[in-house]
Amino acid sequence: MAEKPVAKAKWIEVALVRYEQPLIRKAMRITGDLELARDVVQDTFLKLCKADRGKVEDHLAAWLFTVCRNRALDVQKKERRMGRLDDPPAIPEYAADPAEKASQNETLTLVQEALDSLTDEHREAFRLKFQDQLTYREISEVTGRSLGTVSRLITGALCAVRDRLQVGGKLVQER
Amino acid sequence: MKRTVDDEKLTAYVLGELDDAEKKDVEDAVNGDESLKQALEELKKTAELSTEALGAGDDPSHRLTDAQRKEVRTQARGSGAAARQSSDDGLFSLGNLGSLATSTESPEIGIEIVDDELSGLVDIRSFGGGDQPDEESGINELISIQGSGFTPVLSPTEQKYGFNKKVIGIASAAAAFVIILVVVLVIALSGESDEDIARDATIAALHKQIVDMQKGGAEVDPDAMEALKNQLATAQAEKSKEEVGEDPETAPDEKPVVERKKRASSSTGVKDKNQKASAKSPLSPFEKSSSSAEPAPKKGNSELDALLGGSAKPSKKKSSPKKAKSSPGSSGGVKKSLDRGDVQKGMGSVASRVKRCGQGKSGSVTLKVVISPSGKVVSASPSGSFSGTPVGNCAARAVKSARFPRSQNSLTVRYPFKL
Repeated sequence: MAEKPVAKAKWIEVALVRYEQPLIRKAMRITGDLELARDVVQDTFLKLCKADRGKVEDHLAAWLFTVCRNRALDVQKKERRMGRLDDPPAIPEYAADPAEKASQNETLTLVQEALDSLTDEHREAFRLKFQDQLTYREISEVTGRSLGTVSRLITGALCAVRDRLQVGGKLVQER
Repeated sequence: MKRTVDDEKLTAYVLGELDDAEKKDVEDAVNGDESLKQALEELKKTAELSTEALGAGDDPSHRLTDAQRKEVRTQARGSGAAARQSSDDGLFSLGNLGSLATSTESPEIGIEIVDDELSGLVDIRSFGGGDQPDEESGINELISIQGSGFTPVLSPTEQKYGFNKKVIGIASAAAAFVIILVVVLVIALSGESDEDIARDATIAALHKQIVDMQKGGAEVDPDAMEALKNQLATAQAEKSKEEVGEDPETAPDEKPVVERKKRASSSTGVKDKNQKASAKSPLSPFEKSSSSAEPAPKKGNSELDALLGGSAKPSKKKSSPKKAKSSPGSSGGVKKSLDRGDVQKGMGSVASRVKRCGQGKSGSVTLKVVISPSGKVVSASPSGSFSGTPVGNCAARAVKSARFPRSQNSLTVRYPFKL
């Protein structure tokens, strides 16, 4: 690696700060286990340390999410085989840790209800946007969908949520 | 009217996805249209609530553990240094020991591993010498015999090769015999003192790392260097509460020849041992290690075998086991990644310790273990039903002291232990 270690270390640190949490949530959705998810994400970043920055940098989010996803699926498969993950992850796709979100329960319930009526694609895009705070471009990279599709998915999901919140009195109340 | 289109634009606007020109378009449109303005406000509010509800932002539980983060940072910084070191397989077990001393949270557990795992460290042990004060002088003598006897014999061999082959042959055989004798003796003598040797090895390894880094010139990372020095200081402080005037420059250098390697190591080891001998701490966690006088390698292997045959379940990790290559110290180069045998062996060395954590309970505890390229356990944590329990934590501590061969990649394993 011709690159100076310090520069690369900084780059990785930035990536760590930016993507650590989205990746852990992603891994948790697959494995259903926070510990496993952390392992997966650590592996992902360790792999990034070894990766050629030049080849990764322009699609870092996609790279990280892909590596993370594949690793998480591997881990999940192994866990299943070992009989430790008997059930599919019980954690809702868009609420990584319901217990910790008790304070936002009411709104969350409404958001969940809205999302439940949508497709997986909508949910994924919505989550990447509002939970993981990715940009359209990053979401496009991560999901492999076009920017236009991402935009439509997020708009559709957001409007559905808006409608649900309106019915639930959330928007009226807040205004 | 073009509600969906508007919504998409508005959404993108709310989410900051528009460029300046598009933004202006939206703002212009909104200014002239009260319903559009309301729609924008609703979407903005919805986006805020969604973000809030989904718990975006800083959720501490959705972060790596400190240990994991540290490992990533170490890797990020140290890839150059690691690559340099990885070519020096002669020191790889020393390196592991070095990391063991600094990363093991519970030293008393760490010792046992060292004990069990020392089978791969025969040379280190022999060169470090026994650490019992009484035996020390004897060992030093033996080592110096080796040093003085060997060289003179070799010199004539080279200079007057045809002169008297018999004499030379006998002398060589005698020299070889002396070396073997020293090795065997020291191994036998060191039965009680694995812990000290391990510590010496640790310090030697740290020296070596520091020297390597210094040699590295431009690639030296000050932070990493600092960390190493701290590790060294810690290891030395552990070894003796007295000040130890270590000079990194005295660390052994490259040792292409086995004999040379042995002698070089011995000099450091003996020095360290001398320093330590006078100050063997009564509190030393290593006290717990076995005091068997049986040659260590045998003991280590038999224990390992027993552990592997007994409580250690097969790792679910790697699919292609190659046990033959897994012996620490025996490989010619650094593996790409640890194989099943490596993992089993490393885990087997702490299986009994983990088992003890169960306090008689039956069942199995699965630990997620992250093994760094240097072979140390970076993090270990219980998962499943033992997560967060004293048993689980005890098991995790125990596993942290396991050591593995050096490899090019770090590895995360979920490993089940029987209690």
